[in-house]
Amino acid sequence: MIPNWSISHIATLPFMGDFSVRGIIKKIKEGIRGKELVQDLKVVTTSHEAIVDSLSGGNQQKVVVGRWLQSNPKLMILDEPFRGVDIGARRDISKRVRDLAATDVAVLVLASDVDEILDVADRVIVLVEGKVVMDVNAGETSKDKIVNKMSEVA
Amino acid sequence: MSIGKTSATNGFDLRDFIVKYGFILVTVILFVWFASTEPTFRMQNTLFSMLKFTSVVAITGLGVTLTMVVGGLDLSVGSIAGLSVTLSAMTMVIYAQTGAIALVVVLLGGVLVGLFNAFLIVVLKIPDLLATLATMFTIMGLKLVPVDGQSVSSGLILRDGSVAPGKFTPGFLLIDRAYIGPVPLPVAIFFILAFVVWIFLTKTRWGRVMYAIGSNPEAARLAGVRVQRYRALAYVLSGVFASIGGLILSSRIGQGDISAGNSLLLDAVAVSLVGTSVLGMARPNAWGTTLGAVLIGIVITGLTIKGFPYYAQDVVKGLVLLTALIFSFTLSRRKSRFVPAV
Repeated sequence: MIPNWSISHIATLPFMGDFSVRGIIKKIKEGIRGKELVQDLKVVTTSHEAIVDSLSGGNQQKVVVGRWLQSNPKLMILDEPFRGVDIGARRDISKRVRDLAATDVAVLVLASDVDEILDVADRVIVLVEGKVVMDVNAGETSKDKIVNKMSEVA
Repeated sequence: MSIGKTSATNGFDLRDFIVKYGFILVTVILFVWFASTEPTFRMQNTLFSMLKFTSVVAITGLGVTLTMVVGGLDLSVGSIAGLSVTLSAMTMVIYAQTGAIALVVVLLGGVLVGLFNAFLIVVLKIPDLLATLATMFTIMGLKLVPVDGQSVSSGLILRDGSVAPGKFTPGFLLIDRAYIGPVPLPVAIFFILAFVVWIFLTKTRWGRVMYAIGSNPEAARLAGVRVQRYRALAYVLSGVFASIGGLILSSRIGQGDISAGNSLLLDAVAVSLVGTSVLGMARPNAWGTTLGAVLIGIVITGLTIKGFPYYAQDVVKGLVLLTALIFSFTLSRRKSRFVPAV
């Protein structure tokens, strides 16, 4: 998170090349991207020009995760995307991730909270000490089964 | 959650006002005071000579500002300007080359020292401040080697007993003496460079990324920014700006004075730091540095006309810097403020 930056600026930082012509930043295009991010992920804020420091932790997380969701990736790896995020923000992010997975995009989510995993995953792989101990479809398992596998000694 | 606005209820917040406009206000008040009490200060000539005097510091300060934007600080700028003076004198006086060649040599020198700083910082991972400090001492000593520690002026007796064949060319001397309309060339260069740096930092993707690096290098890296390249770029640009300052200085002095540029470092760093406080921006920026340089120019010129002794200048510069730091650190309510490299 970069202090004192607006949502729009944070959103476009990884993609500056797409938002500039001969190096000059296209402010309007950037503003549109910021607005889309706010709407897409239901970021609670006064505007896309708001300073990120003014957002709650969950909403800040929406912004940093959301900007990658906007970039039309083919593969997305999310490492603990829900850490320190409230439940409402978690729903909003995971819904957007699921929407993306429903298209042609492969999404790999790494998390250590079983509820989060079941919220978002189609397929669950459990690793214990680097070894795969479970690999099932999310619909065919339950929180208890996963927790049991996780606590097994490999 | 507050959104950074602190004075929604009472409409006017004196502290906010002082933080934002205090510096500009001080500049205007001093200007009016000098202008109303000293008739010579009012003359167009004085104003332009004041800007001309300040242009070397300002241009060098713009380079320092770029390194401050990426979270560093270039302490070698004064020595680069000094090196430029010696290099240009050597090229023209000892090797009897043209002014144009001297100009190229000086700019190349700036690029090389900038690259050397970048190498120390990016590759050898030495903290910015310490790396550029080492560069400063090295350059200050190194530049004396080929000239045997002497100032280079025409008629210099060389090591083998012969007389140096060249002299400062009239064209090179024009850098400091020419005018564009009523505007002295160094002042024009200063304003053009200030404008270019302003555009670069605020309107281009590269400037945006450099601010990101300065605010949070790790967040910038995670956003895919090539942090080390931009840091290197900042030091190379800083080297070039310092060598442009050195060119003007060399043209002004008209000889390879070995002590030239020695006092430049403190002034250039000071105007950049003063600049961070302008308009409550709390970050290094081109207009702030420009205004800082002009303010110091006004104060020094004004005090000189008023007959203050020369050593009063340093006291005043120190106080100006201190005031600016109070504006940006003590009075500013911004939670995250710019902290110079340590």
